[in-house]
Amino acid sequence: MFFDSTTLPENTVIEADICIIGAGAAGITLARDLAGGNRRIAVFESGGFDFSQETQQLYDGEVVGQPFTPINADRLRFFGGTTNHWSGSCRPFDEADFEGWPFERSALEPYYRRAQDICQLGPYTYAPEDWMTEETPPLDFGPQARFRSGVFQFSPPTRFGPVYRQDLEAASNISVYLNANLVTIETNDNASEVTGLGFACLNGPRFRAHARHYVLATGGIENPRILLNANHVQKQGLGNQFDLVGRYFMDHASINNSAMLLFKEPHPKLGFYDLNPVRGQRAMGYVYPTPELRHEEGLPPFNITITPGSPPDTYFSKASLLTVYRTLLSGHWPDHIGFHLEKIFAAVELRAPQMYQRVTHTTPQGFSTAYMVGCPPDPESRVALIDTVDALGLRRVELDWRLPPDFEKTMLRAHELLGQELGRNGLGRLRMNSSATMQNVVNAHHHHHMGTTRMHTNPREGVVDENCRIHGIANLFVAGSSVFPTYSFDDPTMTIVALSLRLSEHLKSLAS
Amino acid sequence: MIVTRRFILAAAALGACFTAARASPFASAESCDAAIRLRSLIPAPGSGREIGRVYLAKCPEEAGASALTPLILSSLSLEEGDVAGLEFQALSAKVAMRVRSDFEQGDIVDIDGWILSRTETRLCALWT
Repeated sequence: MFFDSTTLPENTVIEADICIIGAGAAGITLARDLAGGNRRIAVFESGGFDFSQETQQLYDGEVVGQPFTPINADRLRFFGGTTNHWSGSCRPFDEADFEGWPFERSALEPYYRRAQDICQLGPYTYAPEDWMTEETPPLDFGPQARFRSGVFQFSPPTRFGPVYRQDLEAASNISVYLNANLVTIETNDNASEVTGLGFACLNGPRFRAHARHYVLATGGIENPRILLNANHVQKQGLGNQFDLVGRYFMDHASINNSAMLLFKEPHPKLGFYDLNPVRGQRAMGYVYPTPELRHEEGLPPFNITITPGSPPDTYFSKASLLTVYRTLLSGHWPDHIGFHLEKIFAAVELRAPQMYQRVTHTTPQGFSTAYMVGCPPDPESRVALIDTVDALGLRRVELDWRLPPDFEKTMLRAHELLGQELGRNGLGRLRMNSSATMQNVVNAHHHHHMGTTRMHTNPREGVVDENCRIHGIANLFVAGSSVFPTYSFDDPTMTIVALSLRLSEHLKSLAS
Repeated sequence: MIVTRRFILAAAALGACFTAARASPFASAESCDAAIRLRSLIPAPGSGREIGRVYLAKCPEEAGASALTPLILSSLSLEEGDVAGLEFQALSAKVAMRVRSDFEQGDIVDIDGWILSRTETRLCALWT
């Protein structure tokens, strides 16, 4: 059942077994998986069913250091969360990507299989040979290949709010409270247990909730913000006794239009690298370095997409277009309008040559590459509280995203290695664009906020344990990509969903 | 340096020329001179010359056919006299193998952002 919290009487107290804060991919997955049992599940979502500028502004904050999208522009604060403008790219992490995690990939495998369905994807296989056709073979890098081809599947994309709303509505043990903003986390005297939550509505009542277990599922920036603001007992913030909350912020660095590829004539068929339906499922190939090459060269994980003529960044323009549309529809003038318009117009300009080629059936002169890079976790890359407060009195945050000092050099080397590989195999030649520099990287990231409540068995190394429970607090858990201790070049959504299913199993075992 | 469309197309041609050997033998104008035969493997002399100029600006000690030819022949394990006896196809195949080997061994040159093999840039430099 859904409730509009603005209609609750002041000081209402909600009793539940499990409280879930946030109704994005993590929160909705968790709630759905807990549906039907005898546990009372209460889900609290800050927004309503639609975008509201006033609620969205609760996300306002500052960006310092490495330039980044305004932090209220790349997340969405209403039912369904950021999946409301998600591009849909999916792929489970590889075995090697779990280095630094307290468990191996095999522990997540059964949940990945279920996440495949939840994200409305095709068959659970990511082997390139399962996604190629005679007309779309991957590039042949020959013997002793130093690069390989991989494949992403694309979700429709699943908008978790509209798609799974009915499931939550129908579950008799689930109550979803909309327009409910978490403002306080109450604990016992030594902050070893959460005893309740305080909520507030914008221009509405304040109320509380009690449960046996609590799960924060509000995203990679908001999860640490909530914990840092909860500083009534632990002055440095809940779970922050070792100054780890908010640190190790990670996002995929993106280097768009970084190089031009010219293939020999006739150039190889490159349909594998287009976003195309294969047996009814949208899939898109990419190129990536082998683990051996990465190890040998000290390279971070990255993938390379190959696009005729122009970089594949229409996702960013779509997100901007949706934000502007939703904001105008709600009767407001969008924040950061210059940023959004720049994205929208840039996409039109970049797509023009491709559209021309499609219309005229002409062969592209060249192909461009775009790199998506996973950088090593850095404690100085972080989310921290600032003194300004939002409309509900919570301190806002500043984001200081950092890239390794040798990032540019490393990625130029990566380009060089790809150029060598193309030449070695007689496929073609690569030209690094002059824009393949830090200047090009600074405004390019993938809106994947990770790492700020990282997972580790040692409380001095991580905020949450292997079960996503905050170290030192018996009944407070975190769901979502903020628990990732490391990451790969894959989009995080599928792993967020898989981890939420795993957390659900754990909560069920506790409750029983 | 301003990258011209002609430059880019020439580089594309470089990518293809050693992998799809010309069927015809050397034209009569292509003498038995090793340097002339070697540089004839470059299909776009004008752009090849531009690439060659950039290369020689990086490696001025290699300027001139008398310096370049022995370096190229040595990398191909050929003597100057061997070249005259080779058909275009055979010479082209040898160069193609050498180019790939350059890439494999990382013997590459950055020409205005293009990742090219040293052998192919030296061949271009023969046009200067």
